[in-house]
Amino acid sequence: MNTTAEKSNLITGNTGEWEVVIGLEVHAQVASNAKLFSGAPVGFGAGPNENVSFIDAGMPGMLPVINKFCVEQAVRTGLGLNAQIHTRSTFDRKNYFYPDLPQGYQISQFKNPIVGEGEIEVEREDGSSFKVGIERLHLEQDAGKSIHDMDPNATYVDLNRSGVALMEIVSRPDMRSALDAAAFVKKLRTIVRYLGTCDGDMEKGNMRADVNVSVRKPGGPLGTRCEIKNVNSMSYIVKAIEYEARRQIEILEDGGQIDQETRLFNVASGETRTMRSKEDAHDYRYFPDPDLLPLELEQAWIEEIRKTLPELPDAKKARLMADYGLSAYDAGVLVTKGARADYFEAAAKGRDAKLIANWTINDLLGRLAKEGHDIDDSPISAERLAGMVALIEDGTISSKIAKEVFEHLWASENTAAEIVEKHGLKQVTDTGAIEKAVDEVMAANPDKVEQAKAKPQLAGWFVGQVMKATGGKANPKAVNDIIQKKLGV
Amino acid sequence: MSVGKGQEEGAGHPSGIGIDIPPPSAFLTRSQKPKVSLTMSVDDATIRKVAKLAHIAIKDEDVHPMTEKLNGILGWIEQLNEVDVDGIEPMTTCIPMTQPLREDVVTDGGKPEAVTANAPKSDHNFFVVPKVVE
Amino acid sequence: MDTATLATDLLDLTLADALEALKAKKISATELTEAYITAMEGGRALNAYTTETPDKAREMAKASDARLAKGEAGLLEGIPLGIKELFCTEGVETNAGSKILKGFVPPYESTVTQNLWDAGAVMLGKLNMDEFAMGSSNETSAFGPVANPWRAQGSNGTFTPGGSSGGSASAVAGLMCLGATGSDTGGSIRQPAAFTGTVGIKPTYGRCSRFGMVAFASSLDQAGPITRTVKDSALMLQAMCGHDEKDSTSLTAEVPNFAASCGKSIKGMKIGIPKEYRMDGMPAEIETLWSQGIAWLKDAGAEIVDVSLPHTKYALPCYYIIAPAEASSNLARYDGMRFGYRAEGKTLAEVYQNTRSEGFGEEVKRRVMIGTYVLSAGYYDAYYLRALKVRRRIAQDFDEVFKSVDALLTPSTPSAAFQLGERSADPISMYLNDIFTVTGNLAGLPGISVPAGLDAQGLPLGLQVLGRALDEETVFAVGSALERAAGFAAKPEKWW
Repeated sequence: MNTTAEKSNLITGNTGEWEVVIGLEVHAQVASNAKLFSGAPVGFGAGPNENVSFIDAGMPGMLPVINKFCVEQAVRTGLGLNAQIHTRSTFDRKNYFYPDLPQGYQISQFKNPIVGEGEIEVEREDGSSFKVGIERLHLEQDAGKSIHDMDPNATYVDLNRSGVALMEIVSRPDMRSALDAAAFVKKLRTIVRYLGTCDGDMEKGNMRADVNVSVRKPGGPLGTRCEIKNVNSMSYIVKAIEYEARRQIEILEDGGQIDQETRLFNVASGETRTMRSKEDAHDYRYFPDPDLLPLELEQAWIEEIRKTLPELPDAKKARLMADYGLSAYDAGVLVTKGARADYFEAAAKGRDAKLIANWTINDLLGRLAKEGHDIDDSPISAERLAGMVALIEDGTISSKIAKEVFEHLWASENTAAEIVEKHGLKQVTDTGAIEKAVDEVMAANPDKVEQAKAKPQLAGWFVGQVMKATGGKANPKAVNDIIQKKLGV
Repeated sequence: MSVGKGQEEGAGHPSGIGIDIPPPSAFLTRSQKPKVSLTMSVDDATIRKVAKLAHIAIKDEDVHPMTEKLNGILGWIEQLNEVDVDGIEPMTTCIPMTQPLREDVVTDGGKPEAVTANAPKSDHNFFVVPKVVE
Repeated sequence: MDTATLATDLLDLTLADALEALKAKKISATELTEAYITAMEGGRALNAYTTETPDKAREMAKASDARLAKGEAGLLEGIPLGIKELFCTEGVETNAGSKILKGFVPPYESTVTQNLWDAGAVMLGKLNMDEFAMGSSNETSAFGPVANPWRAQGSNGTFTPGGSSGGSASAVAGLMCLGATGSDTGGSIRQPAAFTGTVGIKPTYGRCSRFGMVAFASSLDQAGPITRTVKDSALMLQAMCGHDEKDSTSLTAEVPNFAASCGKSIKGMKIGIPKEYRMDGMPAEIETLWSQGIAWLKDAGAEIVDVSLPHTKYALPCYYIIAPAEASSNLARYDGMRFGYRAEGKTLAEVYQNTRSEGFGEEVKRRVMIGTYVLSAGYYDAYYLRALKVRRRIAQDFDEVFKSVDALLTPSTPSAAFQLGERSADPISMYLNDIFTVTGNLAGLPGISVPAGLDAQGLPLGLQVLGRALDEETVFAVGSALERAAGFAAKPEKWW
């Protein structure tokens, strides 16, 4: 593991280079119908306090009962993180006051989490990869939502989120750059989406990260860390860490010291600041929740869950490389979402896999992103894309013409073959027709013919002219052959 | 301060009725009598800190009496130190059962009016609370 | 027979008698309920009821009469009951004896009360209690102390009915209901029962659902009835308990027919007498009563065995860590944000602190402070964790003795009722009230208090029977043997 920073990750301050050390606590909302401890629905966009039971509102005498599905998702996720599943775990109360925390405590798993240590491999943009240790995954309930801008003198509280099941995934402080931290979250998101345990929707707050940042001189002892709460996008994670690292370096270089504290990231200013409401909340007085009994899982049940796990991104990537001969980069791009890989595999059946991968990655994914679509609602089905690649493979169309066919595929419901037929895009392989076109170009440019005879590399100019004259439909190889023959080169 | 003070006060109460109600300390054998321990007693500053954690306002003049009362109780509690608990598993419940699990079915919710009915202040089914400074 | 006599006669029926008379159509639920409404309204000087619900009672009685007429009587059809303020009752204020919950009207019903209504019982009103069940004399109630219907001979002094279920015990002893729900965290059913000449049972932890019961200390709280006779308790407990999916700590075990155990022979049963309950300085009268109880059981054919529960003396200090720790967290929800009392304040922090400072009484604040302290960083292991380990030691003591005995006999309390104000200044002297009962809570065992005699002042005293977990049947059998032998027939002279 990269305990020492790679040179490129170091931040240069006035007193030399600094290393940033990052650990994350990612909160992933379990994709369940009902809440962790009550039968109220989990959903986005309901009216205020609509998805709330008396349990979620912390009413007197209300008691929690655990949702089995949420336990199962925690186990699934743990297995997906190559982590140890604890057959016995317990629930603790984390005590603190906050208006959107109805019970005055959060039910969490402090001492005995359901999932223990694991490790995942994370890929960087440049194709290199690194490992991040998972310290634990535990189940806990979410708090409600405080709305500060509805009234200048009051805060409005909506408890719809209160009691929603979260999996808190705690990493080891194994990251040394903001980009690596974001890459880790991306990888986690990919894994939970593969598993179907969390939708990974950061915009809706269904996945969010608390980021622990400290700085130190390379190789020195760990510095005091600050926790930046509830960062809910990849780019904010990067910005928050970069700002926070700079802030800490400046303080240290000015001879100051870092206070261990909870901070908030301000999206508008890109800065972090002390979270005042958390200033004296450091003594959480955890103790076992007497309303709940120890959660004991049977090994056989865990094994049953293991059997239902889908192929995970790392395994899928390795297989795509082995079975289809894809590059690590291409395979990596395709496995970031299960649906992408599925699309690719559906299209690649019986086709040139590399061609399919190129068209999928370079043309389709780019276009989808540009138009705000996802692979799931791609206007071009895997079958239609495969149909087009089949036409390239059998020489019916050239790669160049294929670009045009692709546009028609995007805009219509027709198959590639129908498009080629309708628009007359079929490649011309008839040598007579090509010879005729070559002769016409040569006749019109006798000087160029002379020059080309002396300098064979000028033959390419004729290829271009002939392709132009045939509307790009001529088979480029046939054109080339005929021109070379006629020029005698 | 003396942790035994509270008990002596108790002992001084007249029983008021004919039967002999013993002073509470009489129930404690010699070995049970709390030992004064500096490490286990609280001071006024601790009381203020605990009150803050518990979110209970405490008037200045009430701090010291509270310290004394709590020290009386804590001193009495201290006899637990006599018990040999080596290797004993903490007992968090007296039920020899494991956690029951419920199915992931929506059975509740959809009653925001009832949820906010007892609120000191609410508006359009939101709870309205004093301004939170984050 | 004029109505006044009839009403008095009605009040003299036990719960079991009333059930029979109702079924035989000798009386109607409406008549019975009217008699109790009159008694309740006439007994306001005792301050047992905090909320009276006569209209609801009449409506429920009418429905009971309709069911009785159709022959569809439930287990407690037509029986007028009082409900401790700790149980949430839909549409009826539930304040747990606290200012912080004054005016709180639950939009839901506790499982225990729902079970009672499903069995056909009639609700007369809500009963006063120590604030959040923290107290042994009912003096911590924000709604004033409850008076014990019993007075010492030749005295006009007001005695406590005990606590925290003081209103329940007073209402039963004062014939203002046929039975009342109570809750017992350290002795809050058994001690008031002993102080008022009534029967109170705390069943095995988990028998009664805690859903909708305002929590004090979740791992110890258990609901149970206070009634006039052992059989009445068996009948009422039968209706109260049962598995509840809404409480994770609710037992799934079958509920036996408790009433069938009452009056059953105890011949050949082994009854343990724990020597550690013979405390130094224990009043002679308690000692005498205990010896009397032993003799009664021996006469009934039981074998008396001396046993040892070596960690008994640590039970109270252990309890006074665990209960406040859990309470400090359970009571965090009373913060003035979503329900209940909200105080003024310039900032959110001030509103929180003022709300809890003004809304909670002194004893509650003291326990919340202790609980907060023993859970706080640096003290958890020394106090809380150690207490949990001592708790297991105490439970293990019971496991050990129950290998050789069927039940234990002890006094219920170390003294008879005391006068209001007498012990309220000293927390520890108050805490000692629970010295014989608290072990049952720590180990989760069933325990019953049965009236066994009067002290020299004419105040009732009780004996306690503790049984194995889930063995309420033996507890009822031994309890009814004591009841039969004691022949306790004394009634408080009506002064209110």
